[in-house]
Amino acid sequence: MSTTEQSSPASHPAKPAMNGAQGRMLWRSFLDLLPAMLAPFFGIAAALGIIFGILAWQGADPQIAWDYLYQGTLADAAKRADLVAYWMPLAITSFGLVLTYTAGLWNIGVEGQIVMGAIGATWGVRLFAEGEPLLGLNLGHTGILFMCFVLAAASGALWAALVGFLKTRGGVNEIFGGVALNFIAQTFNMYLVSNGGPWQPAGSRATETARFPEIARLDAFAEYRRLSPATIYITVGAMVLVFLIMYVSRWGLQLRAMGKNQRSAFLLGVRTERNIVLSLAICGALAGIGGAYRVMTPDVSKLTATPSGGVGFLAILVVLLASMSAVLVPFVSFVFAMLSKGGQRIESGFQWDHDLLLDRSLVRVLQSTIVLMVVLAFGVRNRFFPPHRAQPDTDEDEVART
Amino acid sequence: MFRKLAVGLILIAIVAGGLSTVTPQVAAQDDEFIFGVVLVGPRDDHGWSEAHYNAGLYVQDNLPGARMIELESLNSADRPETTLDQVVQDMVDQGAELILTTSADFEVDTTVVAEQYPDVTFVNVSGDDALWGIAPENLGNFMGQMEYGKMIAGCAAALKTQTGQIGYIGPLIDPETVRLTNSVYLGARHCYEEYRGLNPDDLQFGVTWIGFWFNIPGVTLDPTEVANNYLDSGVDVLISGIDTTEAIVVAGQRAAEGAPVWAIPYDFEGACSEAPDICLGVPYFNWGPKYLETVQAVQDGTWEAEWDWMAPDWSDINNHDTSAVGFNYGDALTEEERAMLDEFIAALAAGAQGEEGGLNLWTGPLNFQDGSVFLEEGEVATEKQIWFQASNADEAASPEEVTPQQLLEGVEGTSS
Repeated sequence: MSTTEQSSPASHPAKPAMNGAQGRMLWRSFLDLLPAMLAPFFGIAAALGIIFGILAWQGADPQIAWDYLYQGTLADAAKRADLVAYWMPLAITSFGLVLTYTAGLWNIGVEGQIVMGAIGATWGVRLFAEGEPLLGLNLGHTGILFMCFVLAAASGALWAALVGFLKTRGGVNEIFGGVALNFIAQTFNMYLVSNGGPWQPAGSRATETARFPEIARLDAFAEYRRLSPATIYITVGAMVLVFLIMYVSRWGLQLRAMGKNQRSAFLLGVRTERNIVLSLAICGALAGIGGAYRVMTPDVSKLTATPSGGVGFLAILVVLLASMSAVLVPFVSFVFAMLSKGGQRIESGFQWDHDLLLDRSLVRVLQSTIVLMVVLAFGVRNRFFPPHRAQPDTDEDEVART
Repeated sequence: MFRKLAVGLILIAIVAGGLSTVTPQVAAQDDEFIFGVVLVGPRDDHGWSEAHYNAGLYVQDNLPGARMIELESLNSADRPETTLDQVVQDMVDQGAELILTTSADFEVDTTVVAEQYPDVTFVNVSGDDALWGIAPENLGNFMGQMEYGKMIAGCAAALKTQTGQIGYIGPLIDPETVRLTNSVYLGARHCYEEYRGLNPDDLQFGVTWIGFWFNIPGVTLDPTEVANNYLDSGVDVLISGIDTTEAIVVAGQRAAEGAPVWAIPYDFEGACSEAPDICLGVPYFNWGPKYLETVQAVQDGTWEAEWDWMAPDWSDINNHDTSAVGFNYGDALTEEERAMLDEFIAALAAGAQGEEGGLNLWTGPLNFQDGSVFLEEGEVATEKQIWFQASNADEAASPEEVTPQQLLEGVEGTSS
């Protein structure tokens, strides 16, 4: 768990003894650490408690709801495969966001970066797998898929770098730049696939491109036709990359320094402008690959009207809840993916088996409540279990108080 | 210290409570026939999706043992976590033997999924794969002949408008929506001339496409804004072509402020209730009878893939047990206007049934926006020509060969 401690400023372990007995220090440091690790889980549990309370008030038995949540996510292998397929774009995007948030950048534009990635991947299909391939290149199955992912990453990176340049050169706050670029990306996507747009097949009635040709479709597992192993490998690769950056490289330290105080970092010789653009671009590339998953996942295999559908915004919540810790991101994003898919099963389960109509916004309410409760849990933690020695110079006061 | 322990214990108790396990349940009954209905929008949208949801309820009421399982709002913006493929699997696991996918947006996916589940019957409402013979054998299509409802809507608008400007809020551009927009226009022109004695060329009729079947914030145009813009520009009758009720809601708000404006919603029988005083009526789908027929056919094993374009019951277009499309008059119509509409509907009925002196508005000369000829002088459109809004629809061997649909000459708005 040492990595967790590093990443979350609120959960620094106690430093080696400065005064008092060694044993007491260990006990103290354990007390410090425990609530920090448990806070998110308390938050999630409290949120589930609230949601099940609402369900009970709506006439839905919370026990049955809990059971549906399990049925819709983990109960059988096919459900687990669907869950993993939905989880991966969320996870890889969240990994990217760890970098930008560590550097103190609010990359709200990540939603648009996912959309651009989706467009990039589709562009790859169109260039190399439909009609006459570009430059007459016959790349074959693997080559085409590789190019799709490269174009997706490049599109996402470019879109994110634009946010960075707007910030460093144009003085546009990354939040505003990101919001604007989100809108442009989504509108561009709609232009491509709706109202007889250039990528919508002639005479089509659905707001999407044609299904990708066989040669440009990701291979799925034999037993699970909606889950592709390639996406798992890439996601694990992205995880390793972000771990290396965050916990091994000097560049990761620079990002942390920027996150603490950008001006100080700059004065100490960190090339902050370059790092802003670079961290955004890497985040954008990962988000772009997430966008590629969204359109290339075997049961989609086409560019849809809203390829992201809010996965980017969800990833922002994930990273905030994980306190920007790359170690916690996979778990928190997995919980969120479970809630999305399980929430839908709760809704359909009650309607199909019990004739009980629940509101479809249940899932969103659930996710928002969890964010709220986790933040509240951190608040409770800070109130009752204040982290010791977060600032070394307050050490004396802390001791005096206890 | 004690306080810390207490708080810690309380928190642990909460987690433990949340983790306690439960016993599985769910019992399936043998004498049931389960059919699935997949909706693109909310089941209570007072429009397209609610009309389908009500059709499922109609089946449940009229066929003992039939049970609907339904999923609303399946689209990539509202449910990014799932796909039609996954929803269909859930429904099949639940025991569904028939699944109706009720949007053009599901057309391609339904074809793919139908191949995955050859033992389950699929119907894509409003699609036309079965017409071309490119659909799997377990996939059929049906749609109501809403052209007539839309002509009546156009007629009502033309009877009422004071400014001579009618605004149509369209969803997205495809053969169906262009067909329905053109139908409104033909009905409006006819009645503007026939009953009001005005020059139909003076009638201004515009369409604005929002980009999808309903509002998706940040993705489509906002229909509320489109409606307001129309009313600001002198339009006094709004006609909705989208799944939801923004047109009549906005018109109702303006009317409450004293503006002389009216609206005609779409799809759902009860849609006038949003603002009854300014509602000229609503052309609606009555899917119930066709749903019932389909469920019974699948149950009996007599179902066969077909493409069915269901006509209204001309003896009474508002008969809930026989007519696929209807038109409810709104409170804002005067007695005189109702009489004219009655006459118009009777003429359409006569035309549709091939009677002498009947009215068929799909009669040439009709040109498209780019000036190309849709129907020559005196030429009457065939079913396929109307469906695709293309003059070469009968000669085409596949959907790709059909000329892209176009709005009629005189309609303001884009065809593509």
